[in-house]
Parts: sequence; structure tokens; C-alpha cells
Amino acid sequence: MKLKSMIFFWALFILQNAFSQDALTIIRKLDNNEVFNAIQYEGDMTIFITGKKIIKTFTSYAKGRLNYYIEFTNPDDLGTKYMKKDGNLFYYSDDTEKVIPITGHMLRESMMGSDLSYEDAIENETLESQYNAKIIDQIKFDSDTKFKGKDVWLLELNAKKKTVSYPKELIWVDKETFAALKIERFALSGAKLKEFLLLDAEWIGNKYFATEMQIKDLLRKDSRTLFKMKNIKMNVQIPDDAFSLKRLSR
Amino acid sequence: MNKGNNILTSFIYLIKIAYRNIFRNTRRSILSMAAVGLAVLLIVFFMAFVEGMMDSMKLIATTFESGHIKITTKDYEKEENFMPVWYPVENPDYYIDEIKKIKGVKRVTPRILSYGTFTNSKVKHGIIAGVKIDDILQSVDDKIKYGYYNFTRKSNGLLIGRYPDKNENECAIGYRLAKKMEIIWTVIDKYEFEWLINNIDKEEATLMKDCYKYDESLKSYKLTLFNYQNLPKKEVKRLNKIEKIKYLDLINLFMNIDVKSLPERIGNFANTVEYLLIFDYMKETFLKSYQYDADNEVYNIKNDLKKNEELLSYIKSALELRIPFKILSSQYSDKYSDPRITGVFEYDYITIDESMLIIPYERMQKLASLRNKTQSIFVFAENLKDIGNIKQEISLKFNNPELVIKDWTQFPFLAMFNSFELMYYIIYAVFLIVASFLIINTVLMVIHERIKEIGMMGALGMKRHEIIIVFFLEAFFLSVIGAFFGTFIGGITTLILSYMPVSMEAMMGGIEFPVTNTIFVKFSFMILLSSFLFGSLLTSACTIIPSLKSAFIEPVEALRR
Repeated sequence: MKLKSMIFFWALFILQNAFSQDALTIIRKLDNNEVFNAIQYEGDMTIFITGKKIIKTFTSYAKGRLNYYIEFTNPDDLGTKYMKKDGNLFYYSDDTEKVIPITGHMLRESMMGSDLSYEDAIENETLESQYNAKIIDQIKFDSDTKFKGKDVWLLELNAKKKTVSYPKELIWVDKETFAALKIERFALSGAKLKEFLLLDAEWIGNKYFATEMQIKDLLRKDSRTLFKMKNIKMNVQIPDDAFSLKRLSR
Repeated sequence: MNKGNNILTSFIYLIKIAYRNIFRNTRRSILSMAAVGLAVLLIVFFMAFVEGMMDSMKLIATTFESGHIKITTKDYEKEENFMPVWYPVENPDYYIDEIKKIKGVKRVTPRILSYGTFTNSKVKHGIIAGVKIDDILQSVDDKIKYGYYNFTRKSNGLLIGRYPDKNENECAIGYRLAKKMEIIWTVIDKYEFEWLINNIDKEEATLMKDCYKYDESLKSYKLTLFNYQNLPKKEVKRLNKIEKIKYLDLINLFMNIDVKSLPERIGNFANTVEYLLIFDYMKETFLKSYQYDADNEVYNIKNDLKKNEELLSYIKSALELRIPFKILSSQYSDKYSDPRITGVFEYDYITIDESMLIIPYERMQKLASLRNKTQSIFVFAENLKDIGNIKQEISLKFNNPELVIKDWTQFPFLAMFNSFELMYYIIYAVFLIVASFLIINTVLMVIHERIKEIGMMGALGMKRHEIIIVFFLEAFFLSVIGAFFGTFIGGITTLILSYMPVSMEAMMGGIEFPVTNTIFVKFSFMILLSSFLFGSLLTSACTIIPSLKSAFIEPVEALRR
């Protein structure tokens, strides 16, 4: 009886480790899906809030995780530019007449009235460096998107440090493509704060790249944002001074 | 005719008896009159104070919140507390021009208010107000008391500097907000401080040295103002007054500082250096011009550098007092601005004073993406009595179901205070009834004392109602004389106090009163008249019942006692 119990616990331990190992591999692949040398694309953001629909268009380019540039092109926001340089975010528009760094509590604010916060937009760290992951279930994806019915791992991520914006995340990862089909982000209290739902993705090279998603800030009443990317070009040549603040204010 | 004359003659006779009776026990009469007088005095004072407070509140609410008439839209009305800019009034210029034509309209002005997020780490949110600057500057109007943003000083509320220029990216900030935000550097690097001192005049340098003290452990100068620990309340209050002036002078100094030379050396934690290092192009220019000395943690200017206009302009921008903020525009876009502070105001409305940044209306309209639209239109009338007619005329003229036209009395805040009016009258009545007890007591004692006299008056043929009248008139005279003196003294007191602003903050032991901090006790003949009438009539009425007692005394019974 004693031996049987020991074998059972050893098996459980090995199984758990095996799953943990898998979870780590999965989030590494998830992280890897988001890493690229250089990218350029056009996009639009459709904000649905209290019965209103607002569309914003933009062009963007990025280099690695720490540098990106986005310029809004819709008439109301023409000339509004954001730049992430070495992980820090800056803003410029003709109204400000100078570059404004966005730091501290400002990062938690909604970006351009969308359900996305600046913090969500300038995520500098990889999932692996921020969270401990474990697989909590293997199920069929049941959200009403084109990916419904896909086999997914349901991952639970718990923050390694207290400074992480969302202490807990749940991620539904497609077993076939390693794409995050759905992400739920939680506060320390356990309240769900954000929900990301993948609506479309395409293979670009060896990466399954998210091209359309829906973001919901659950603290906002009656609100969701659709984020679409098009004309995506990977590994384009981006000049070295493209991420200069002086250029931002031009 | 003869009958009428007889009644009048007998009534005058009764009055004479009642009047003489007052002096039969002077001490008791004086005491009774003093009680009524004191109660009426309290009523006069209380009425004058409450009406003064109500007037201040009305003035504040109409100046800042409602105007005499406020025009918004139906959707805005539903979410008014959030100050949304996405439910605008279309084509406001047309409405303004048309409203100005209406008889009795004094001023029509558009305003846009929005919650804003500051980049400041001490105060994260506040109100950004887009106000027509000309309206603030030219609007002080004694007749309608519009434009008195600070009632104590009877001014537009500006403490230092000036209101922003409508064509510039400038702002005015509330004194309390400026203090909370710590817009003045609280710690200045040693070398940075010395460099600043060399760039300002003697008087300003003395002020800087007076306000900042060197801290060896930080190798920096620290602002010493408003640092009260374990000091008695009185001392804190005294120091606060003195240091407020110094703080405002410091803000003024920083608002106008103009450095002409680069610092010879500057610490690596200096405010200027921290600012320059944020921006890559400034950082590059700075590092080209300075050599870092790691042992002493300072940057030393390179020898060959004579003048660097570009770097000097960057350093000047680091010294500018600016308040970067973000608002959400009518198109749900983040709109940032970083206006330069040109003035500090202090209004009696503390809620505004500690949360508001005023920027020119035209700039706010652009920021909020409101092009040819506005959030609200404020209408001020020549005379408050005309408001009903003006409101009706506006409604008929535009006949737009989307517009909400409200006059100031409809604002919940004011309606609530108006509903307190009945309660105040109940309080006044309680004062008087308490005072009346003394008169009731006096009448009862007098009746008891003069019981034989009542019997004799009855035996001599005086009718019951005449006996009642004698006693009632005696009590009535006591009430009227007491009320008169109470009103007279109350009138003089309120007249004097009406020239002295009463600080609610001081009255409430340092607790700031959010609605209106300064109250002027109101002197008005209507208050005096109503207090006098209310006092004399109510106390007289209270004496009717004890006076009736005299009527039920049988003359034979009374004479036997």
C-alpha cells in the first residue's frame, strides 16, 4: 500500500512537471510569434462605445519589441503620433507643439479612447519573463469566432513580480498554430479586467500573425474595440533615425 | 358715530392702562423685553448669515455652474456629471448672436469643460475648462455680480501673473491645485541652484535662499515651505499665510525665469538634466557639451564650449512651468496639451480652485475636436426677475427639442438649498417661542399678582374682553419694544459685518468648505422688517392664552382673596 502510494505521488509529480514543461514551451512559442525584426502595416481601430461607432485609421512600423511608431490618418486625429523608443512611449500632435513622454499612471489610461490601454500597447517584456504558466485544461475552443471548435490548451499565467500590470491571465492557445485565440486578464482581486479575442490571423513566413482582434475593457460600460491590420510587410528596411524624437515632432 | 367714538376712546384708555402697567415692575419688564430682544437679535443675525450664505452660493453656482440660464443638449444633460464633450450644441455662434438680441440679456458666453488626466504624479486628474478669456477680463459687473470669481477681493480671482492669451498655448491654474501638484521644484541640485541664483536678480535670489535650505545628505537644496510638524494650529495658520505669499512669489519667479548662460557644472540628478535626458536629441546635444565626472556625480561643461544656443533653448524649456494633460475629445481621441502657466487664481469655490486648469476657449474647442460646436452656452441677465421671460423667449425662438434650456433655480444643488427655507423659519420660531416663555411667565405672574385688581376692575364694570385686552396689550408692548431693540442692535451688527468677509475655513477650524469659502453677512431692511414683525407678532400671539386667564376670574372671588 505504501509503495503504491509512493508510485502514485511520483507519477503525479512527473506528470505535473511534464505539463509545466509544456506550458513553458507553449508561452515561448507564443512570445516567438510576436517577435519580428521589422514590420510595417496599415490598420484601423473601430471603437464601439455607448451605441456609437468611431473608426480610426493609422499607419505603423516597428523594430523588435522596444521600438514602434504609429501615426493616425483619420481626419480627426491627423497628425497624432505615438512612438515607443527603447521601451518608452512618447506622443506628439500639432496641438502639443512638443513631444510629451507618457509615463507612470498615464500608461494605465485608455489609448485613443479604445479598450486598449497604453500599457497593453507598449508591452516590453515577454510572457516568459513575467509569468509562471501552467496548463489547466485541454478543451475545444468555444468562443463564437472562426476558430470555434479548435483544440486548445487553457493556460493560467501567474505573475512572477508584483509590478506586472495584470497579476493573472488565462490564455486559450491553439494547439496547431500556437496562436492565442483568447486572453483574459485579471486584477489581484480576481476581477476580470480585459478580454482579447482573436478574430483573424494569417501565416506570414513561419509565424501565424494576428491580423484582427476584439478587445474589451470590462471596466467600461457597453464598449469594445476591433483592431485590424492590413498590408502587413515583414522584415522591411526601417532607417536608423526612424525612431528619433526629433523626427516625431516634424 | 357716537358708538364708534366710545369704542375708540375706551380702547385708547385701555392702551394707557396697559402702557402704565409696564412701569409697575420695571425690572421684570426689562427682563421680558431683553428676552424677546435677544431672540429677535439672533433671528436677524441668523437670517443675515443664512441669506448671505445663500447669496454666495447662488453667485457661485450661477458664475461657475449654471449661469442664469444654461443651454446644453439632452444627451449631455443625462451624463452632465461626467462633463462629456461628445454631446455638443451645434452652431453655437448662431444661438449666441440671437440670444444677445433678446431684451434684458447682459452676457452670453460658451464654455467647454472636461475631465483631464495630468501627467503629474501628485495629482492625476482634474478639470480642464475652456473659457472665453475676454469674458473673464471684462466681465466684472457690479450690477449682476458676474465675473467676481473671488468675492472677497471682488476681483476676477487672479493672484499672480495673467490669464492665458487666447492665441497661445497657456493656462491659469488654481492656487490649491498648483500647491498639490508641487509645480515648483521641491529639490534642486546644489550646482543647479547656484546657477539659477546667478541668473536672477538680487531680490529673487534672496527669495530663493529664503525658501530653499541646503541638505547635506542630498547635496541639494530642499523647499522648506509648508513643512509644519508638531506646531500648534494657530502657528500653522499664521505661517500658512506668510508662506503662501512666498510660494506665490516663487511661482512668479519660475514663470518668468530667463537664464542667459549654461551651468558650468550640474549634478546628474538635477531637474534640468533629468528632463534633457528623456529626449534623445536633447540628450545628444547635452552629452556633447558636457563631460561626466563619475567620482563627483556631476557634468562639467567642456572648455571649448563658449555658447550653445540650441542647448540653452532646451534648458530654458526644462525650466518652463507647464502642465501636460490629456482629455478625451468628442471623437474619443486622446488629445494632449502642455500649456505654460501664466497665472495663478484663487476662487471662493474651493472645488474649482483645487482641480481646475483654465485654458482659452478657442484652444479647448480645438482640443475637444468641437470645431463649430460647443458644450454649453451660459446666459446672464441684467435682472434676475427677467430670467423667466428670457428663458421662454429662447425656447420659442429656437424651438429645438434637442436643446435643454435650464435656469439657475433648476440646478439640484440650488434647489436643495432653497428647500431648506422652511426649516430656517422653524428654527426662528423655536427661538421666539423659547423667548416667549418669559413673557408668558410674566403675564401669568402679573395676573396672579393683580388678581384683586382684576376683581375690582370687574366690579367697577369693566368687561371681560376689556380686561383681556389690557393684559394682552401689556404683553404686546413688551414684545414690540423688545423686538424693536433686538432689530435695532441686530441691524447695526449685520451692517458692520456685511463689510467683513467671513471665512468658512476659519470658522470651521481649518476645514475647507467646498462650496463657498467666503460669506458676507447680508444687511437688508427686508430682513430687519421681517424679523421685527415675526418676533413681535409671534411673541404677542403666545401671550393670548395667559391673557385669557384674566377673563375667567370672578370679581367677587378675586376681591375675597
